[in-house]
Amino acid sequence: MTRFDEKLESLKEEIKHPNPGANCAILTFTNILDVLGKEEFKSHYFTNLVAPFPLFGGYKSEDGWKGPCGTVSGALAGLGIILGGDKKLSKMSQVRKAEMNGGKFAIQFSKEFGSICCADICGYDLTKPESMMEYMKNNTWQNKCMHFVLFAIDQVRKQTEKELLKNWE
Amino acid sequence: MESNDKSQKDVFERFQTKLEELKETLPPLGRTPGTSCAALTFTNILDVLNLEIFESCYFNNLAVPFSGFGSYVNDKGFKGPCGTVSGAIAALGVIMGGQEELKRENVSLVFAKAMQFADKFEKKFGSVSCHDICGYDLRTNYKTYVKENIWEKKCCNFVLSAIELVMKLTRKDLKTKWQ
Repeated sequence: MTRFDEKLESLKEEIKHPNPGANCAILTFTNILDVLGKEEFKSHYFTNLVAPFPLFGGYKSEDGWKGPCGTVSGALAGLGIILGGDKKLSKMSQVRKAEMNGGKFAIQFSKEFGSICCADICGYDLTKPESMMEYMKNNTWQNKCMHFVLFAIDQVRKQTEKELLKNWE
Repeated sequence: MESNDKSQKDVFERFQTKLEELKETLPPLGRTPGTSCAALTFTNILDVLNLEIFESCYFNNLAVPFSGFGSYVNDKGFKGPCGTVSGAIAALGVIMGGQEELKRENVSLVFAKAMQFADKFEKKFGSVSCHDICGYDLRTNYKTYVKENIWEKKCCNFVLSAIELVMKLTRKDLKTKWQ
């Protein structure tokens, strides 16, 4: 059983009731970092940098554009870390590969859940307090969002199998 | 916090110096392979914050896929957000958190800033979608994008504006947590 398998197995129970302050982007990103196992990743900066993404997910522009699910943003950050390993992604081929992987992740996520927009897949406009109440009342985290997190972590693993072996074993 | 001894300037002066410097250094990067607007936005803000830990390659690497996500378009009409927007939102979290993990009671403030940022960016450029504001589908038209100097004409400005906007939106936090 790999560290990713173990993490996913334990998360199935652990994230049913996440700690206060945690959100989908934080849970996705920090659990990927946890699997990678570097002391450096325990720094609070890694948590803080993804913390705002869930509400960007709730952003709706005047022309109807809706923000991506925070899980997607957390997973993209995780992809970049894994693909780069301990070296800066700077060569054109490396950067293009990381960018392509970002697009590939979005395609796979959308294929699985029908969309990558937060409002579309969770079914609520989380910027509105009344919608948030409904979200909580209907156990939407347990019924939907935690599964986005689990899928995202697994998908990141699938897309980076080669780099995980090469850069993180 | 361990800071680099790069200057005694205050954080706002460092932002201004950084913006001036980037006006010169960003445009030629359009000819340099491996440029990521998301990573440039995020890491240049971290550079201003001036901590040794931010020199780690991980902060650059985690931002790179957001540039590719910008090019994502699906059959339902969703277009990925501009990478500079994603890089800036990540920076908002770092700045507002300061030297400790974001407290639960402050998360809603960070959320509000992220929304404000997206709103102001959209008002300035007409959209937050990469495809809409740069005018090209970079998955299929990357060569034209380079040939038409779109990086120099447009994307540099998105990076500069995003950094400036982050500075303006987080004045209070910069003053209390990063001086």
